[in-house]
Amino acid sequence: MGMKCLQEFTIPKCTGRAFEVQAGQTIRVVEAEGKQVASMMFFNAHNYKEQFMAEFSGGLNFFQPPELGKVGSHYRLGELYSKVPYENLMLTVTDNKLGDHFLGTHCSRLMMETLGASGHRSCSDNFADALREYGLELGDVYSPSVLNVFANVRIDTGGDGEIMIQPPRSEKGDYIDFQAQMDLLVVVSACPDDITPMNDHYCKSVQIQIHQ
Amino acid sequence: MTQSIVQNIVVPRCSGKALRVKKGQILRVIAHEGKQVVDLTFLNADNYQEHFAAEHSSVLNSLQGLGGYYRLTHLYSKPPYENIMATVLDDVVGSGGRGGERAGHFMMCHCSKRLLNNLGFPGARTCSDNFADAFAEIGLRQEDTYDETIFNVWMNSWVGEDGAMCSEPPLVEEGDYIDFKAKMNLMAMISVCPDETSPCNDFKAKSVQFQILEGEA
Repeated sequence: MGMKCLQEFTIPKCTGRAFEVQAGQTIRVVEAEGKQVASMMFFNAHNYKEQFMAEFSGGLNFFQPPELGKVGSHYRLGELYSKVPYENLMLTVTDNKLGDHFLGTHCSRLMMETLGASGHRSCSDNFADALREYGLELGDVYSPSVLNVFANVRIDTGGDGEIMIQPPRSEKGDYIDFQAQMDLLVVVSACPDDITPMNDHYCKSVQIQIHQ
Repeated sequence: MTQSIVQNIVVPRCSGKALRVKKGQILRVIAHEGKQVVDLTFLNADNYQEHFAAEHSSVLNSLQGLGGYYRLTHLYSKPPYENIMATVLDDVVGSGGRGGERAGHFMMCHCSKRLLNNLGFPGARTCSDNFADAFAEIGLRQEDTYDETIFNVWMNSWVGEDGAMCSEPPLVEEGDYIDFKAKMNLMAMISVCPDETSPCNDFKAKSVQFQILEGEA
């Protein structure tokens, strides 16, 4: 049985958007223009306190029961879990040819200030705008650590463990598919960072498709 | 001016604790039995919704040239707050005093029920249990606040080139300590990591000593 596209929309550059998906549906995040990071948060649609926990999922993907084998790592997720004390499977990655993403924090007011761009728009602004539609605010999100889809970021394996940001390797048309394992509120920020190489110094739009 | 000890306690092995630290005071964490990890996070004592974000702090410290995922100088609260909650003043392991290829702490998540189950130890006590106890001490539930990425003091782990999670025994030696100076009234939430299945605590869970200090050294 093939997949049917239920909904398709573009998230304009430097903006955020929240939308709901039902258990069983597939969210496809598509590079509308290429080399653009989509930062993503996920909430249980029936309990906003149950939130996706990025780094924690990396650990759970790497440490799996021996009979199941590894399903992923810090740089390539196969399964997305919610934070403690819930620890439920929220989504599974069903198509991920490129593989690049970063389990880490989104950009913020202070980060822009640190980069010498005080007042520059950040993912914090995009998320705050998108969350408002569902009666939520940034203060309701427990961890700023999110799934940064298409981000080509590494952590130094030695020294202080500094972050290394490189331009994305994603090209127009590349995509990643997630199948929802529960009813979800999904929040996406088309990252507005044109200061670092995160988006190849040029902010672009991102396309979302919901498939059944 | 001298430094005085306001509080001095030993948190038993495999347990959690909440400790109040006033603005200007120093929280000293002492490895009095040697190689043991302390999972540490902080809440603003006057607004529990403002809490420490460890991984976010790693990126900020990295951009500032003051640390990264294995060491921090400034501990920031999560957005939208992004205030300095505490600063690290004295850190023999993190500053390279015990050698090692990396600074020797780890800004990541703590162990949990599902993780230990995956590792083949269902029902083993975890930092999640310790934190649940610590939060209960101040009338909170684990689901009400806090970022699961925390300051894993002396956890000698890192992210490998391929995204692997790697661990070696802690570099810390008996009697070594790390000092955190409170920049606001804080509630320090502590888990003395109960893991005996990995090199994290050198395969033996131990107790840890905590002091709250006042005045200049």
